[in-house]
Amino acid sequence: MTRFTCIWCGLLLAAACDPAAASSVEYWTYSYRGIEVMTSERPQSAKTIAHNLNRLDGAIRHVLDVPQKSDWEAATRVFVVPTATFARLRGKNDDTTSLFMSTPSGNTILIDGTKDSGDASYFNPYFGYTGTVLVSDYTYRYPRWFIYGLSELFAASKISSSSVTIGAASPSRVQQMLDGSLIPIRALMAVQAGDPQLKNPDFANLYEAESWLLVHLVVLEGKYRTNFFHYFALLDKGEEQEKAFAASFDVPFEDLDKLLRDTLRSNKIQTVRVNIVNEEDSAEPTRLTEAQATGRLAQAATQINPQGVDALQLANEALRLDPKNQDGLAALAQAQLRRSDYAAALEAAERLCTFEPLAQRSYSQCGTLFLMLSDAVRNKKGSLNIDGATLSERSRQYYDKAITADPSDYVSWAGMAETLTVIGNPQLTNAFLPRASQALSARLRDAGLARALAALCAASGDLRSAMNYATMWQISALSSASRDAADAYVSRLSTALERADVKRTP
Amino acid sequence: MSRTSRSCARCKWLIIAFAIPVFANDASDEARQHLRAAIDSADKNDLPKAEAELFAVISNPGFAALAPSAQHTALALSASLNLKAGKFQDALQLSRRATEMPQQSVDDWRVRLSAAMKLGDRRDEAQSAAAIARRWGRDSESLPNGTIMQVLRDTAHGEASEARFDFLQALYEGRWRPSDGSSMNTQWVELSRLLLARSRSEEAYIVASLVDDPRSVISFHADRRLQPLLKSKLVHSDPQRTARDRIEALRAAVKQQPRSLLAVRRLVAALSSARQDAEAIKLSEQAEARSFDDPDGLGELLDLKASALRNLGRDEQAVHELQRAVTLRHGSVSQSIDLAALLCALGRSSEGLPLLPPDSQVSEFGKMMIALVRLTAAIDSGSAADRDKQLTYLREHRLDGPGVAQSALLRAGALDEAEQTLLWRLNDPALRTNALLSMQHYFEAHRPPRAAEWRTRELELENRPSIRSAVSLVGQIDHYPWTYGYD
Repeated sequence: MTRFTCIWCGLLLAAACDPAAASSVEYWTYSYRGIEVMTSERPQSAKTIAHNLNRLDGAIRHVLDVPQKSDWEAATRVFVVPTATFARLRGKNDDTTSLFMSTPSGNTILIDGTKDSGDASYFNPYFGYTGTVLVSDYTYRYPRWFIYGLSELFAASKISSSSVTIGAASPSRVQQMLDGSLIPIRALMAVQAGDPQLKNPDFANLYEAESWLLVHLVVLEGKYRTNFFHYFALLDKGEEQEKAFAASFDVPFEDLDKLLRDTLRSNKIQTVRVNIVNEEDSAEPTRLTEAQATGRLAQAATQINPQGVDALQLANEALRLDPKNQDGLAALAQAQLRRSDYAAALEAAERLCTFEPLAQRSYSQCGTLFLMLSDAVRNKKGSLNIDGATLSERSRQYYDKAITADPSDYVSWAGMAETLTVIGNPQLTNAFLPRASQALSARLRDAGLARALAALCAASGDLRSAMNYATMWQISALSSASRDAADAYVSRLSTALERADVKRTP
Repeated sequence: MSRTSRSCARCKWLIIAFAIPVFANDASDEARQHLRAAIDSADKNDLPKAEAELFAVISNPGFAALAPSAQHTALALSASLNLKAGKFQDALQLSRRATEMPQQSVDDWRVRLSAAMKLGDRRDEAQSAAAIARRWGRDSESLPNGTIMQVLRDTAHGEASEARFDFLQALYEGRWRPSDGSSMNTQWVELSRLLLARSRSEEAYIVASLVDDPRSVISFHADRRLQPLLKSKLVHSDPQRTARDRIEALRAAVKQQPRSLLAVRRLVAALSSARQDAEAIKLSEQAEARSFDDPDGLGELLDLKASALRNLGRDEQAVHELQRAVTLRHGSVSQSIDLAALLCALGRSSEGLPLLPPDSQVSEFGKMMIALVRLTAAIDSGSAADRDKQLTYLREHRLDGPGVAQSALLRAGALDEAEQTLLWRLNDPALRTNALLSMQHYFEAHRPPRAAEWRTRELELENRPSIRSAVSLVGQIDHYPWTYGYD
């Protein structure tokens, strides 16, 4: 049976525009309905962004006709930072202004606050948030052009105190399409993340503009909507583009090219207004100390650019400001693990995890750090003066505390399942599984937890439960790679179940 | 006939009618028992007993009456055990049957792929790889990088063309990329060509739009089969501009990832190919000065630096850099071969011989290069027996390195045979693009006397009427003075 150690399976998509001026560095934070905003801009912008994103969420679900957000949605963290910090977190400096990343444990949106338009339109947060909703909460794994186009469509939303207006046209986007010949839709739909054409700025701009217009026509104006959603469903099942298109449309690609051209010629598109009233909220943004802010940024860097050196540097900066900064210590240990410096990672983990009292988040991080260290020792990637079993047991204890402190910490549930798979103690497993099953029932689309529980059940010989969880993982996998891994896992489990059935049948 | 006898006849039919299911039930019970015993034995790691039990299941008349899932279990387990036992033919047959069932699993396909590879059944190999790639291809555990590369090498020639086309399509759908970060340009050019040959031009353009290296863009001009791609606005058509854009993109990558030795190596290679050797050498030296903890990467960088030095006629410095690379990458074979080849070009083939790694450590192409070095040394020393031995190897394995085989014949002075080899390359659909690429007119870099002599023979060969006539039928020769060419 396969055992999975990868925790982060994400999707990165970036928006780009021209650079602008820089700004001051003083960080504020504000949390609202699972959306945590940390900003270096005006304190009130944190509150506005969080509230507007929550209402944008409602508008997206209304327009796409999907269930409204529930309480267990993955947390969304938004970082609005100056250009220099933005570049450090990404490990590179170009004209990108924002990016979003979705993993089973939550969504991260990173925004260059200096380059953001500054006109309170909040294009970048809306762009990123729409992308994370599509990637993490929705029915299919959509093609890139659709995620991009929908993100841009909603990014231009105008949010007033009582409503969200979607679909405003961007004059610069329209001009890009009028200026040159369009990319044929067949070619546009074939483009995948990482394709080299997207490195060509002219192509990328036109691709983005056309994606936006096509999504606008499909989603807001209902053009070929049923056909497209059938097409998405087939693609999601692994069908090839040409075959999926042929099975979903009774018109050739060229008719879609014509639709775009005709729309551009008509110079007319529709907008939609959704009434969603802003909720009153007396909470106000709070200011972070420099150490707190740097620690959080170090944590973000370990997720956004795991191989980069900046996570390590930021972690050390946070610890210089406050040697007891828990985020900084966790980031330091994670960065050392990424560099395969296991001795240094263990030292940082010990420093973090022996603090009293530990924040709930730190308990969870300690569980993860000791799990990864035990994996390194067991797989002989690193030699430490401590055995794998001791490290696994420590991981279990930290996860236990994390779950006790916050039963809705699903990352810790998944981590605990992985740790118990390694430990292989039937009593601990049997005591844990019913509780974990209950946790998952509140969070059916958590691919990470489903995958971890499948592995635990399979390791304990309960193949039928393993199959149930593996099927959940299959359905909720965020990326194609994760989906293929889930498919392969289900395939192997099916064979194992067949064998078990043959043995059992008299 | 009496009534009794008629009655008995009817009874017979009744007996037969009832006997078949009874017999089948018995047989299927027996088959099921063997299957259970096989699983028990396999679980206890008693593989010979498990195999024997499985044989008894599958050859049992009751096998067909077993439930499909039980049949699949038997076939899948038996295929897997046969593969482990080295009985590849049986493993292939059984895994074929398993993969034809609705219960087929990723492991059935993997067993089938492994067996097909062992048996050299290239069609089945490509079919199996395509099936895995389509359903589980983004899971590197199901289809590892090395397996994909092996299938691509194995099916490059021969009769698996349709299955290879399907495999390439499956890789394209998943935008598969080698784990070492290298590109799939060559494969996408091939897929575009195969789509064009099937009159699927629009799809060919889209695939070719992924191609972003100057070498491939030159091939769009050189090979007549690829020329229709130049009609599409999606496809790069100007090789020099493509080279320029690539260099700019690589410069940006180096700036963005200043600690990445891989990014530096790619830029050095691109600069050197585009005749910007001085900058390539400077960049290499800057990268060397930084403390990269990557001896393998540094060794490859020194190899590229040596190539740039050679282009500028600084051969002794090139030898020195390659010697450093060999020392750094102790045990690595490619720099040793490159150094030996350079020494041959400098008329010092005897010095190159001791550097050659054992055949067991190198790829099939590497073996061809080693044979070329040995041949050169044999020619230099006047050893006719060794010369013939190496030529025989190079002739027999010419598919492993068609260009190397041709060079060997030229070095041996066998111009007529070299002509036949070049004609073979031009006429073979799978070899033609590379043959045409090697014949384009690039900038003539500095060559030491021996290499210059070989180059003269090469030009003489390419000017032969038969060759010129063959080229005119399948492609064209253009001038690209801004590059030394792309090997």
